[in-house]
Amino acid sequence: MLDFLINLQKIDRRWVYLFVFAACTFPFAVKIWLPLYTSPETRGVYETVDKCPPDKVVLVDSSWDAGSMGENKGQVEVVFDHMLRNGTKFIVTAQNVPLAPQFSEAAIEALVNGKYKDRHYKYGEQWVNLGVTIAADYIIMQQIAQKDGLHRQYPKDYRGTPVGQLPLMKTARDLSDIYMIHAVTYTPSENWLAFIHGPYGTPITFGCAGIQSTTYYRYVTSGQINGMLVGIRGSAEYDAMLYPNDMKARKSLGSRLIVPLAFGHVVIILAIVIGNIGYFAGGRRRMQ
Amino acid sequence: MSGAGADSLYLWLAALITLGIYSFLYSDNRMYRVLLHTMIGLGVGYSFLITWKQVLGPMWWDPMTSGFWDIFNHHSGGLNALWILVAFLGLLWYFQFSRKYLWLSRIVIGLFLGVGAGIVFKQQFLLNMPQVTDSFRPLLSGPPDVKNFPLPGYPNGVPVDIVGLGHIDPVQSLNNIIYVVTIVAVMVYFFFSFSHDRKAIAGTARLGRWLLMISFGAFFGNTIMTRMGVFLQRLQFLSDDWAPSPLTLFDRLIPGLLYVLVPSVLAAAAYLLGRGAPEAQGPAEGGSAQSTEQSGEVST
Repeated sequence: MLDFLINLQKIDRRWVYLFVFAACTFPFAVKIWLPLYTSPETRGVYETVDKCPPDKVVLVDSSWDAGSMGENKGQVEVVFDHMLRNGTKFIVTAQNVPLAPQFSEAAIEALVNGKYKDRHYKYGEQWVNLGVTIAADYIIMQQIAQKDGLHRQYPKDYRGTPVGQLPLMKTARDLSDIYMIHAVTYTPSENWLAFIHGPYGTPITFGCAGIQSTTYYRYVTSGQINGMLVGIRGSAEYDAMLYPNDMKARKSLGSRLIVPLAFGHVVIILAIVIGNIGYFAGGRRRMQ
Repeated sequence: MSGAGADSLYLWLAALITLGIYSFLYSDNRMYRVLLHTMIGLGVGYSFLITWKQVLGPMWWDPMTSGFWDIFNHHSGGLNALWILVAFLGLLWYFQFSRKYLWLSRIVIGLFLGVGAGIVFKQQFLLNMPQVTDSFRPLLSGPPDVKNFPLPGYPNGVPVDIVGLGHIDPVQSLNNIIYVVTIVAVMVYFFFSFSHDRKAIAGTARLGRWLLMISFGAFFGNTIMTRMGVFLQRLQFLSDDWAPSPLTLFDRLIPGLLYVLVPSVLAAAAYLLGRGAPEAQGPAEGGSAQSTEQSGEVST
């Protein structure tokens, strides 16, 4: 028996992969819903977006691509959904991730041509995608804070149109026209706090990979960021706040992945427990 | 090729590449390496193109060339030609490769160091001062008060001298006590200027170490969540986008395809694992050694 327990430490890791794969696939084949608790950091993002005044715009810095799509895509989808529902106008930018603008564009187009088709939202009036800038982030931040900074930093939008020709950009010229910034990427830059929130007080919210969230919680408690969407969980919680009584309306990637994530976590927790049983059994053998 | 046909081709290509990359989970193989190098090459090429089209082109090349155009045609706006100085400054970096003219690269390095130092000073001050302020918390407090949003108010609870003893929030107070105790304990653990032999100091430092372990546990848990997030997005693509994709070709097969595919993959993987070969190896050295062995190459 003791040998069996000790051998639990030596299971080929590929068996673990197989069990994780099987557990995660099951919820994709059979639709299952699990209850969601909304965390304060997610509620902070929701409430900040919800309070955007009609004469201001929201800047979404959506700097992610295929590498962190699993977590970041849902984090922009739910915020886009919220803003389109409220009629809030928004500007999308990207920093140092060349593929990012096309992912953001696809997410917005899916909502505008799907859920909000009857509202007839138009590009350039309701939202603008300013494309990517390759530069040190603090330079971009300092630039947009200057007078007409958005126009100087982004002379053309993602589609090649001069920004002066876009109706939305005629009123959104620099940081003073921006109500809040929602920065979504694998590791949102802390420079948003140092160069934008610190000197100008613009509310900032983050959408980040789960692995990075531990370092950002201190900014939530200190009030330097108004809220944070953490990984898949953050977007699923936000979606649950958007549609509290209608689970079928929750279409974001976060809502799609949260149940498979829970199933995968169960397998990993079991693997940790089994590995520890083997470890302690090995300790007993050494004592003998 | 029609639009639908092209979409289907892209979908199948993406799915096969995904499966090819994940074949590494069983063992290192040539297909995985080919796909990996292709992906890196595509990424670099695309990044270069985008950098030129969206950044260097509109922000540097276009203004500079239009400036020269204005000068040659005697129009106003010739000042934009000065953008060429930025190119000269950038080219100074390449004198790193010349011993004789190395000093020229030091000009631009010095410039960057100066800018960097100034930026970091401002950044650290504005980033960390609110953290220091936040670490002073009322140990006995009422509930948080942020009704004057977006002003900060009292996010960590209103001090008891304002709300009075009758309005103490036990949960918020406990939160603040844990926060302050954690800061003190961890700082004592990292304070090496005096001996940790004294019981009070040693006990506090030990508590700090335990609290650090708890935070490392949180890091580890979040790491798993992120790795799972990457995997699940691909799984979602395979199950939601790719698995039903033959729908347009084989109408009758569609509803059951996913259920056929998944058990097939599971059975194949179980069969391969059951054979017990090859041995699980580390991703770097082990993988390379095996690859060389399989290809019959002899290292000289």
